[in-house]
Amino acid sequence: MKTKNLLFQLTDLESHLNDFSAEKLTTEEAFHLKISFQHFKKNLLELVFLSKEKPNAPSNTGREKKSATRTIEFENAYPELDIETYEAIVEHHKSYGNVLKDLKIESAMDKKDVLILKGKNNSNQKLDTQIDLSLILEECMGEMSLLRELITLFIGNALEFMGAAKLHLQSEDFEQLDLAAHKVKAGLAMMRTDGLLDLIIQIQKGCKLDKDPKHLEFLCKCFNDEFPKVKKALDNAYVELTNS
Amino acid sequence: MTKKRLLLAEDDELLASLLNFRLKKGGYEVSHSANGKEVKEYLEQQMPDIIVSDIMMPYFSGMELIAYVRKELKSQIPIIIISSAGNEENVLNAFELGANDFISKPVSPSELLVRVARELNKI
Repeated sequence: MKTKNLLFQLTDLESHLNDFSAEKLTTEEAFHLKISFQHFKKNLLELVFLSKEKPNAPSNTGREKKSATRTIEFENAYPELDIETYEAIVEHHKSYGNVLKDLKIESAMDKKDVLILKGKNNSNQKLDTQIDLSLILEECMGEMSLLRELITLFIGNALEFMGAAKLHLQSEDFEQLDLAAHKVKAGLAMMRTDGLLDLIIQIQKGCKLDKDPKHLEFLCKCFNDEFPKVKKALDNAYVELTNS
Repeated sequence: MTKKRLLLAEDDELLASLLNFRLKKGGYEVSHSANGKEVKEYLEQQMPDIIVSDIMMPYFSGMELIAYVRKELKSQIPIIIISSAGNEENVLNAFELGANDFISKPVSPSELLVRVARELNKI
């Protein structure tokens, strides 16, 4: 298979990726997958278009040289990138992230993205929801009524965000979705609900950068799925505090 | 002793509730406005001793608020800005417009109290 055909087939793979169900894919996996895929595709695009230009025009400009160097680096990094590898990817597309890991796709990624992924891995471990309200109670100077008020506001804000997000996703109004996310962010940070906060940060990033409705819908669904667990954890933590 | 009047401009109810409570406990007379429109209306009627304002607010941003106080009202009252992490450019702009100090989210109420007291002591 020619590299160009491979690129075309990647488009199909991308649509599969967009159709991934939230039940099967964790946020971390989806995030990893998306960034890996974007880099994979970007490098492949360079490979295709540069190889097309090669016979006619030698690289004279600085930009072309840089691009050519990057392509050679890419080829060196993935010497086995051929139909077998591609088929393996398609075959295992449900564990696409792992396949890409084997291909050491991270080496082709920007340092920034690798750092984001590492940060994501760390923070995602906190998704198993446990909330410590004692620090917030300290900030409330021991006033349980204020703490209760904050929890009520927090729940109200989160529910408001979920409703607003649904509407903004329907109308694909990413600016408003970004604003709705911004509004709920401080509360999430205050309550130290790191899993939800992490999702909100990703939603805001998505609204500003790639504006991919599927990805944003997925992130919002993760938020909706995660919220009841957080609410339950909050209630438990509050009961624990009142009993102690 | 008269309490110092503090205007808290913050649209996040959660943060505003906590800060309102702590600032009142800290001995300040706090007025809270949840949006820029309310802030402007308040300032048209009276001038507080200090303003604590979020940068991102509906109708009238924290930046517009600083410019309004410094240029239109020609007041030099201390203004402390609350900014989100990673909003360094906005913080720099706020300082250029005349903000006196800033505090990053998540805001520590104790830290804010110290900063407010410090700014008021400078007067």
